[in-house]
Amino acid sequence: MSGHPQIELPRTAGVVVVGAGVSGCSVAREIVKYTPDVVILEKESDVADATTKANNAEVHSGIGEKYGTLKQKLNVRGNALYDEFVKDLDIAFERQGLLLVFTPRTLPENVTSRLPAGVVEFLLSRVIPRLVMHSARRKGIPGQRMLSRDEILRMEPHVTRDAVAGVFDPTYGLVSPYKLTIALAENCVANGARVFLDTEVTDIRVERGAVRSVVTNRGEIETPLVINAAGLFADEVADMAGAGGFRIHPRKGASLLFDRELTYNYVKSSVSEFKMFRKGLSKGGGAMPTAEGNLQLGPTAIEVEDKYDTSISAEEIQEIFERFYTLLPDFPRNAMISSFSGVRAPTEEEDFVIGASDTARGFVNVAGIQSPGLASAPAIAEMVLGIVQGLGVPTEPRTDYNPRRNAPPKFIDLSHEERDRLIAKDPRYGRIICRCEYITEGEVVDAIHSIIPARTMDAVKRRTRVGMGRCQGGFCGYRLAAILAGELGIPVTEVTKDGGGSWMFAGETKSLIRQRAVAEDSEAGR
Amino acid sequence: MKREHSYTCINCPLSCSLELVEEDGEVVEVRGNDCKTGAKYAVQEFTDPRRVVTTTVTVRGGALPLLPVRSTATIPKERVKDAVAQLAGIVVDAPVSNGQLITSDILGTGVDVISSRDLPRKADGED
Amino acid sequence: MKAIRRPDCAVIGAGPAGLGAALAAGRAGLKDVVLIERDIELGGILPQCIHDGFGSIVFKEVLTGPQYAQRYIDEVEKADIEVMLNTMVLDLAPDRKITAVSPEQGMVELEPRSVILAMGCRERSRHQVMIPGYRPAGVITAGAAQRDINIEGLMPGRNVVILGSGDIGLVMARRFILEGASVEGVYEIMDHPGGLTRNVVQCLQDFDCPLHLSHTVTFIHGRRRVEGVTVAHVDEDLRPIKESERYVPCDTLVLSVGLIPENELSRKAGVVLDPVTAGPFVDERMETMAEGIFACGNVVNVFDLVDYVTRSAEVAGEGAAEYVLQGRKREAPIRVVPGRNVKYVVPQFVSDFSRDIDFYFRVEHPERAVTARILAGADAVSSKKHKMVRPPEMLKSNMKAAAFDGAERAGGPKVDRVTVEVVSRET
Repeated sequence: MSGHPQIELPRTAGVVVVGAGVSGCSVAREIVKYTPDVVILEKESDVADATTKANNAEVHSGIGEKYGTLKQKLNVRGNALYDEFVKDLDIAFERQGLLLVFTPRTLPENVTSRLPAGVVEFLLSRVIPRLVMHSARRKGIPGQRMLSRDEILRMEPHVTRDAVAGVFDPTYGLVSPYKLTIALAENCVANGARVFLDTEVTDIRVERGAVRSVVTNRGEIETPLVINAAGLFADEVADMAGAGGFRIHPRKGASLLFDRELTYNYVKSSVSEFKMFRKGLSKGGGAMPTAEGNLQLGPTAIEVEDKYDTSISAEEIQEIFERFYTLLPDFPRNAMISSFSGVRAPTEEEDFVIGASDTARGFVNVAGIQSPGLASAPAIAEMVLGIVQGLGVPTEPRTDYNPRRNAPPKFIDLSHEERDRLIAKDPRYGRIICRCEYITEGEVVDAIHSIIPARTMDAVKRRTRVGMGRCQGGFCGYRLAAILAGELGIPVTEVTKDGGGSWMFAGETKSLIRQRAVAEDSEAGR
Repeated sequence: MKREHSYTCINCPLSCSLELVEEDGEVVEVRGNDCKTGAKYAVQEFTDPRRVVTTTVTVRGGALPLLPVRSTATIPKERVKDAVAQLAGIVVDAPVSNGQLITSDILGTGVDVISSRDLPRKADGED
Repeated sequence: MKAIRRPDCAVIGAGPAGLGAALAAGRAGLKDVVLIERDIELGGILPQCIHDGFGSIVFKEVLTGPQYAQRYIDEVEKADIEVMLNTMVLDLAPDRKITAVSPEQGMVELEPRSVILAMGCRERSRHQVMIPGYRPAGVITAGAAQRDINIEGLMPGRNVVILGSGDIGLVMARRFILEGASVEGVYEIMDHPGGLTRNVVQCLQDFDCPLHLSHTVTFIHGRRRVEGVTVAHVDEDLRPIKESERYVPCDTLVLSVGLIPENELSRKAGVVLDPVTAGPFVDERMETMAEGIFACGNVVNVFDLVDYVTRSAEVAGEGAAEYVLQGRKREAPIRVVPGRNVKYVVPQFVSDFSRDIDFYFRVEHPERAVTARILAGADAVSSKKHKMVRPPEMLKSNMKAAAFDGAERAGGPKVDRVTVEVVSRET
């Protein structure tokens, strides 16, 4: 069981990847096609447990990226490669498309208020959409088309009636960022790579200008090749090797999720109100259906000091409501079931930093992967493969590499006969643990014992969706904790929500009274 | 020396705020009540406030780890915490039947504590 | 192919509502009643409500939740009702077809002649009340905490803050304290408690646990585990006043912020829901607008007295039996509307006035010295005085059989609605 923290680190490895987010796992899988001697180190208690898990799931087309930047080029290339990228991973990827809507708010108020209405109409219905399409063509993005107001409203009936025109970008898609990362990591391990969770890199030894080893909180691994995909901490890891020179400045983003039943098909593609001269450094987000069909609104973009600041403020929630209220005036506010937030890891230059270090041979940075990191993943992997093949990774693909990874069975998607067969094999597939999403105990146990084992409540949640429904864990909480405790052979008081000190239970029911009685006795000097 | 004590009446939705005046332990008057029941309540709460005790006790070999129990009558309010602490140390063996005596004369109050339900033994083959 | 069961009645949920309905259906003549329950035992929410206060109307005794449940469980075991435990209903179709699953039976299909919905309700979550901050371990709803402490044998935390002063929050304050945890306080956004005064006194005052009215939690601190909460005073519009913010260290935030009738299956069956109650529209037999599908208990609207749940369940059970045995057809139903100071009334329709009908309703705001009246058209057919009415305390009024017809016969115009209203007696 590769992810098990008790398993000893190897003493040497051909390649060490630092960080098991979507970037690290994409790069690792690409390399594993050529050599199995790859070790992935992750300081959290699960893969995809930091920036990746809070990603919006958008596989952008590249339309929103500044022309000529590395991220723009890799985005367009990555988007084109996506179907091939995910085809053997047994995960859902769909190109719902992105609908950019041009409304009176597309131009700043101080511009529209000074121009005659006819001119504004002309700009919004003809000029600006054409500019957007031209920009997209220039970046090599295929297939956009202009839409009239009627076409928009036919396509997306909930869009505001004051929409003037639109541009539809068909290559844009959605994929679950953590399901993708888990699938990539599982495929790596199935093909001989190893993943070590709860393992934090504390130093990189460089001797005579070449990488020698990686030092972690659990031991040292000798290696000539280190891929720095450490996300928010990529600057700190790069500094360890003397291969830095960039600074990550964290930017958090929050999104809101709505009840799937009440918002199913509320929008069929992603919808965004196009704003010229947008303030801030994000693409403005959108209203999109998640991979499971819930409506999602967001994300925000707020600079923060603390790399761990995933808090969501009342103002952010309000901001999201206000932003989307103008685009989708009747979206059901009361149907909100959850919010999530993560911290992006951009550099100050706002572009990817991908390249081999000059000062530490064998150290490759894959850093500053902000949006469109998810869309760019196949292209980043392709680019890094080229780099590492010049640093010792074989150029001949392995004959024993199997690209196929199968997702575990999902009870709710099976036929009655298939379900009965599963239950006959193991009755735990007949016990529903998550009543909102209809997840069975059998699936939970599968997740706990999977190739990248789930050892926390959230890790199980990411693999099975337990706790993601309308009751948000109210029904399943203690059940899930009890199953984790049983399967891991630990007391239920050691079960955590997401590793670290995130304990779920303070103790057994009578233990606190006894502790209090003992404390009171000793206080009274008895 | 006259002293005042405040109580909130629990007998009806009016929830009157009651003031009871006593002198050296003797009730002088009750104010704020809308009816006689409220006055009686204030007097009771001053002279002898009593509560039903409900809690759980640990079970060995049962279908569930805990058994809900209740006192058969009220006990003095200031003894409730001690009663619960004492019951926290009790372990009973399954099966337990509804109304089964768990402890008699809890803390010398003359009040028994009984089981609130049937609790069968754990089914064979379960962990 | 597995055999499809075709019982006279399938009851979904075996809490007090389902237990009462199944028994009533059997007593009213249905021979083949199936009771479907997803949990490991019967009783619904009652086994975890270990405090007393149940049954003063139905049994004229003050029982604990488990004791109340045991009465019905004993009867169900004696009656000829088939019980399916550990069985989750996955789908309910408009034609009443049920698809369920259990570890013992695998996939189960039923085509019952009638269905009684008794799924109860779920708790509102932290996100639905939009509490900002982090999302650490240690944020738990009061009912889930109650299950942990009273059934599973686990303490959710040691140093607790409770948001919401409904009865569940109040009862849990006492429970946490008695089991050795400390409760820093109960915070309530309204300017009055949400639960019974009895609970404010016996769960908070008895233990010197402070109740902070007009307060809310504005931020949850702690990345992995709750480390504290920020609380603040709110203004008349219930908006937090920033200057009043105060940090309260704690490791657990317990939420008692509302119950939502659990009508997912009802929606799947095409049962029309009343947006005010969040439960199905029902008539005086507790039949929903979908023929042959009845509903009772908290799935219809959140009751506070289990005794009323039982009463509504008995009506539903009898209604289902009548439907199956006599093929009762509904006549043009008349709408029941909430009148002055009434937030909602259940049932929302009446087809048949030939029997006594109980109406359950809640007021919008507290009021003293009132009369609760039921009007048929403009005529009062029932009237009851109350010294005080409050939203947290559900009211029940009874309309006698034929009272409605009497109003019609009085020579007035044809009556097209029933109104339940609360009028002031103060001039």
